[in-house]
Amino acid sequence: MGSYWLKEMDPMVRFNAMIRGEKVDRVPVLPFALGHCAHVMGHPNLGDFYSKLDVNVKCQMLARELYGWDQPTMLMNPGYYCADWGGEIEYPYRPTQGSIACKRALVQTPEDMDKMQVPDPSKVPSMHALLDGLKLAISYKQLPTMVWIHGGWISSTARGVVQLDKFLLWLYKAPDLVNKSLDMTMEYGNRVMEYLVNEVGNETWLPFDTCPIDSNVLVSPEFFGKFPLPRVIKLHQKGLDLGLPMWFTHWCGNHNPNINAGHVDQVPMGEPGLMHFDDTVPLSKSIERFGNKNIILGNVNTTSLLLKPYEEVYDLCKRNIEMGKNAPKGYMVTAACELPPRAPPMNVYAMVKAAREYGRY
Amino acid sequence: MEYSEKEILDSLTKAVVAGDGDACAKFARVVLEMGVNPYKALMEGCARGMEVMSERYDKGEVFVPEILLSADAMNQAIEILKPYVKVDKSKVPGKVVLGVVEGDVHDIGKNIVKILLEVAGYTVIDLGKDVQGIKFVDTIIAERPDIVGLSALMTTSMMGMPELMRLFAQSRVREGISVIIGGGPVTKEFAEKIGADGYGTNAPEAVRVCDKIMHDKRGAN
Repeated sequence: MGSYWLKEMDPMVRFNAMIRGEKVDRVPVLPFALGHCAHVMGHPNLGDFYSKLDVNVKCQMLARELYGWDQPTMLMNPGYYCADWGGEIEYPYRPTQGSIACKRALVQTPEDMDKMQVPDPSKVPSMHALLDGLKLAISYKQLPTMVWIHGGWISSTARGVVQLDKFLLWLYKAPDLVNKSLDMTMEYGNRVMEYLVNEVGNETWLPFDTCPIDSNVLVSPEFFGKFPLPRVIKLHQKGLDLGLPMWFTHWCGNHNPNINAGHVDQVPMGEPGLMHFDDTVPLSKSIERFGNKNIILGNVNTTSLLLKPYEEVYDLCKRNIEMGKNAPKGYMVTAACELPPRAPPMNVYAMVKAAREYGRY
Repeated sequence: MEYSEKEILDSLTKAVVAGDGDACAKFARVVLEMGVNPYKALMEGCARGMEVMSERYDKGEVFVPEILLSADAMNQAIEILKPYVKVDKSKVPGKVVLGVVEGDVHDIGKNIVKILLEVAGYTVIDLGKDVQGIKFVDTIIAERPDIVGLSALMTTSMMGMPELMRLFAQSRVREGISVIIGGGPVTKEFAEKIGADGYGTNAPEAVRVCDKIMHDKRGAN
């Protein structure tokens, strides 16, 4: 113990070194913290954090400084890829809310599909806010900033743009509508990336995406391969063609059947990409299957981070780090899904402390 | 064409499993034409089909769209048969109030639980998503359910569950009801910690938990 860690690499230097394949002093910590940053700043709820990106950037910067973790600023679209299309959202101003909620999707019926037109990001208010937030983060040298880019997934189409249960039925009853809507959200994702690259270039940010509704908790690997996968391949390739360095993808939920079917291997991630499965996929499997091409992230159980005693969480982090630290392209210790906003700060610090104690190279 | 009762019931089961709404409607009409008991057709034909789907879902052989498709098909039979069904209340296993707790709008899991409970014969009062505590309390007072099911996908809303348990106790509505919980971040350990009476990892298990609760309750009476 002691203050030896004061001589550590700077968190952003460490993160950038790892994604460039350079030497780092220890395993980086990317806790996947969003709402938690607002919580430790004393915000009574997450409303301002998600609706005002200046608040968001400030909370994330100071939380990183407080904990000493290595997570770049992660910016969500304040329109949640729902209001962008004309849907209705609610910001989380009630304490029980953990994120922005889509209150009503634009498309409720097949007839509503005619209302669906791919927005021009330069004319979407939430995109202006996202761009301002990105510029602010860049001005604070938060490089690279991670920006949520969402399109082509079922997760980026159902719920936010098309009502979820209708969409899932249409997989059988109206596949043409499914194909059309997935194509349109993919196109919006492409346009958002072009818009941001035109405004701030391709060296200051990298895209991240998440896909809970594409997991095999909800849909079969056959449907995943048939419907979202071809679009996600195109979206990711488009990002890389625009010169963005890599993708950070959080494969939320159980994607084991999608992995076993060979679907996940087909998604371009960059070289390396940042590959993050939740803890339904064992870390050893992630490393074995994807570690030769990607930096592997994972995989500290979120319910444990929220509810278990510090000692147990610390031990869990230690085991993750010892399993991951020698992954071929690198490893970052991460919560299995978004860090619970109300996780006890000592349990969050356990990730950093365990990385310092057991993650040294 | 003449069908035996068994053929009609089996055809309804097959139509539900296949998610074939047209076939469900066709055999529902045959039920009426042939004088088969409509309640029996629903429970031993349609509901049996959903049980098959539930078992397959439990084994990872089918997924949510297939369950929704089967439920959608079954509803076509229900629409035709419902006006003719006389429910034997002694055969209703119990009454369940379901809702996604306040702050959470993720309701697909709760919706699947509702479908499977209904086909198992339960009376289900669905309060929807983002449900405030007071609405649960008012509904418990008005409906006197046997079971209250709480669902949450977000960790923030999951932490509203112990508060709801306290609210139920303070409002004196806890006695006589069993509370079951479920959802992505919820664990058995968490359920025990907050004093819930049951926990299910998925929708079919939620039905089994309800069945056990009702079995124990009936046994105690």
